[in-house]
Amino acid sequence: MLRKSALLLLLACFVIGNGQQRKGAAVRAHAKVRISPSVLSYQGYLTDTLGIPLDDTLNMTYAIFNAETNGSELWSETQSLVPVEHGVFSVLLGSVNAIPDTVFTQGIERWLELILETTDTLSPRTRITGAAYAYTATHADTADYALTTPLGGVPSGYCILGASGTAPAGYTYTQNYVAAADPSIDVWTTKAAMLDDRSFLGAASVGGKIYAIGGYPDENANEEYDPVTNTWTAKEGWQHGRKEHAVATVNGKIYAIGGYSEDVICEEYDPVTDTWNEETDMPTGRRGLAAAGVNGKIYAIGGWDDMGESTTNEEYDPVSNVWTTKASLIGPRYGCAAAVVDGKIYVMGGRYHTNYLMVTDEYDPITNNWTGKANMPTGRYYLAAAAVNGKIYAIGGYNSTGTYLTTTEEYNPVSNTWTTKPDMPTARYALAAAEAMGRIYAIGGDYGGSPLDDTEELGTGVIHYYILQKD
Amino acid sequence: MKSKSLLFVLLLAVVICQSTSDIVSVDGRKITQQDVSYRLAIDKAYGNDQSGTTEVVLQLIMQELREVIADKEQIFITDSMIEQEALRIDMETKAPGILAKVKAVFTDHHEYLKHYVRPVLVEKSLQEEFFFDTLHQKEPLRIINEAFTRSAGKPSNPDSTLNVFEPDNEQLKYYENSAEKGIGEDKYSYFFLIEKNGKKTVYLVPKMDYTEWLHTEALKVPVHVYDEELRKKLLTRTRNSEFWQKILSKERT
Repeated sequence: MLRKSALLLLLACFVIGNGQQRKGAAVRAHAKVRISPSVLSYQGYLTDTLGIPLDDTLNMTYAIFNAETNGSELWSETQSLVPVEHGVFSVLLGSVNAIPDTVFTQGIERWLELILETTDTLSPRTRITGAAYAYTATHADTADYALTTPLGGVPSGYCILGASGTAPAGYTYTQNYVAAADPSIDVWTTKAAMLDDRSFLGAASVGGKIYAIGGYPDENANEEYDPVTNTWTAKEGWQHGRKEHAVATVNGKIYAIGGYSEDVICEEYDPVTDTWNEETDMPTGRRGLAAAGVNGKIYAIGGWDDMGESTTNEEYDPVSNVWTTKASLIGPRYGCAAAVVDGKIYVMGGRYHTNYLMVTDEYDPITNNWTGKANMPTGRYYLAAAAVNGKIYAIGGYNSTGTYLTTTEEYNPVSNTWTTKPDMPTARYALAAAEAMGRIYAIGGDYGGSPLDDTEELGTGVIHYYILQKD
Repeated sequence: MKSKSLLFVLLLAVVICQSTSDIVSVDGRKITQQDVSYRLAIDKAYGNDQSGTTEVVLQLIMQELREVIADKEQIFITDSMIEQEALRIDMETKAPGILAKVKAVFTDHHEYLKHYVRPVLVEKSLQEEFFFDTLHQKEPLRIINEAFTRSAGKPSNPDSTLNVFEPDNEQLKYYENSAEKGIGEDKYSYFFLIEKNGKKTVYLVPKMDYTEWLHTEALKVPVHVYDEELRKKLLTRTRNSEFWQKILSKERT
């Protein structure tokens, strides 16, 4: 039945591959062609005619042509029993029959044809984009090759792409990335656990790595997660260990603010030097607050101060080292979450007295104005939030019925709408969330009074490559 | 005939007064194209690539509004105060790399002082004035004073409208140090302590809201955006803000 169906190839993505982990690929081709036994990583997404993702094992034949229709076949191979899970498959083209370099060096347009079970030819063919050319071994196999090429390597000021912001010697991470399609959409995957169980922690990402800071019970802990290697590493702990603090990033530095029991403390972590510095105290001590970094400044929002739930919103400028009072939240709350899209801060959820809030408010630092937005479908507090590709993901939390939540809801600021997404595998509150490489990571938290070490990844359909500039 | 000539002269004077590089007037204080360029460059140094002219003009209007309000409040910012603030920033900055980029925007040190340091100092001074000036805080100060007087010798709730809480040990140290045996204050509140049944209790009154006050004062200041297209863009950008819609409304300009 499947064989006869006209299958729809929704998404395809070529990524770098030469059979081993790469450090990067040159963006600007400048070196002469080098013969290299590279393969091309190819990922796709298959559904049936009703749009239902396939779960199957298929024989797939791939062929590269020099035209969208007809044209000459330049290369082909058949791979047997390719697993397709939830519609997603991933293969290395050239692993059966090596792709000659001439396929890419002697022509501009190249198109990939996919045939299922030797009979179902998917149409139309997929164009192999310029990016894929850059990723192939033809012009610059890896950043290492680019560095050692006989033509002198990557010129100063030119850029390479890396799987993380950790730049090789002679390069600097530009704090920017490029985005490409990722077949992992709305899929939760369990990743390596943190080194410690922790709840009421904070997390932030810098250069494609995530830092999980403080929390209960190990208030001094600081661990780095590398999504590429799926490993956690202990890093330098901060001076004032605490929990229920907030964490935000600006200009490659992480700021950890407030918390229990030292609620005015603001500390800055530099992941490059693995060092902490104490900043000027926040004017209003708070725990259970939210924080966000925008336009080089940090905003500390809401939380629980001496008197209870707070509306306080304070801005910290690390350059002038000044805290400034800004427009107060529309309503008091603590245990809320914040994320940034397009220079605006979105604060969602939290608790006020016995109300577990669905409220979502937008703060525009330019106009210093709060605007009420569409309610989140699920009222909850001590949830976590992170943004990617212009959308915000609100994850987990605890609600008025005493339930630890797996709930994942996506907010689109452009349409001002919330969409329910697949549940996170592990129910929890007091967790942290951060984005890295275009994917969302839910980290730690608490279930039934026990801290957790779980790390779970949500694919959002986008993957990021980090731009590293030659010094 | 004479009146027509006079009108012409007046019109000419208006045209001459408004330089072609002027974009906005805030109570007669001009925001120029150069100001916009500087602010754009400062934003970029801060890592903010999203700011365009619209965002920058809004920041500059607010900056000038604060200047006008500071004037009305008789907050005088002298050159030496600005120099001192610049020195403080040099010594206290937590982001020396970005500060260096900000400084590099200006070829002239005085321009750096005028366009970067002065606005920082004005906002700081204005907030200091508002939160710690007894005139601005007349109402909460009245409430706390009356409550404190009523509470003398009567360890009961002196006023049901006050915020009341029992501090933990850390908080108690702070409130005891700040209030001693009278009324204390911090940036956002007035407070005093009463010992009740062997437990210290803090009674607290929040101070007035700074943003609310600033906006009220700002709405008394005339703002004129010279270019109608720009005004429309600013209105669109601030469509969620009642305050900005009023500031930019044609009736006020």
